[in-house]
Amino acid sequence: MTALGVTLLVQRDCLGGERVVELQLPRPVRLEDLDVVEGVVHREVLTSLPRPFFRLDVPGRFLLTGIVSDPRLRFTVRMAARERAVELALETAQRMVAT
Amino acid sequence: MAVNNDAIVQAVSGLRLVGNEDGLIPAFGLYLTRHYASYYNRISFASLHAAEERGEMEARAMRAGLVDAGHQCAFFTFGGIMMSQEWDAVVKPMIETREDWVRGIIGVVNALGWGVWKVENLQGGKELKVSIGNSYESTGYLEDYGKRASGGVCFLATGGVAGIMNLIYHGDVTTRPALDDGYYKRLFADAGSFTGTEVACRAHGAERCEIVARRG
Repeated sequence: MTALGVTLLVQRDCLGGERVVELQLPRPVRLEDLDVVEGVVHREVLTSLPRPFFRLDVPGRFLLTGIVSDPRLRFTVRMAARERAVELALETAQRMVAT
Repeated sequence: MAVNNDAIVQAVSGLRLVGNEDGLIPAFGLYLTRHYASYYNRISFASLHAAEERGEMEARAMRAGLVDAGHQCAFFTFGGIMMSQEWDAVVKPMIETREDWVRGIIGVVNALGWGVWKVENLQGGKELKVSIGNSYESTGYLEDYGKRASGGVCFLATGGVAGIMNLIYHGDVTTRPALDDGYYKRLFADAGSFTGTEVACRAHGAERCEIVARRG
């Protein structure tokens, strides 16, 4: 667990390529947390679903998905950034928590 | 809240399932692929026919192998989906019982273009009977070879139905286990594992394909 209470849940390789990192925040994700993620070119919050699923695409870095009001985040880190997968995910999650 | 198949199909169909610059489609915590159904069908059926020409023992082994491909598909794809955030957002709020997990994953299957799956009979922990309208395997077989003299051809679906029961009732996917080799062996090689049988197939003249999974 980091100083800001972010917990690493899962880290796994997929097909020897992209890397999935799942984290848990110390509190549920809020809609405004999504604004602090840098480099997003596609942002989707599906509020029509029973629970609001979101997906933020940051080309060259990761796809971030989760549910607003749920503390868990999933980063699917691109091949180009796979060596820094955990670091990137933790950095981003901590920035979200700090808002 | 009852599991609403149409709502699941609509929600899953609305997810943005597109490739990224790595050429991959990350979704449901796994990778999806857009694959020509005819390509897989033709490899499967050419292999089946070649085995059938060699004799019943070879044909039986080939059918078992093709069904096992369905087990693998169910294990990784359905298992991954049932532990995904998309599942938590779309399906899980509708779930009240373990049987709802079965109806929920079948709702997701109905958004994947595998035909129209319908639960005909579900006895929790004992039996699942699914009928499939317009299954892509029977459709492909009929198009390339016409009506078959005997036996069904929906091998991937047969393994898939058994996989659903094994994931939900035999291995308890609701506890979010790791999808690793040990879990796979426990699901499909244990004495109490579910096995699937195709009891009717459009390729053999039935109106809908029907698959039953029971404990072996």
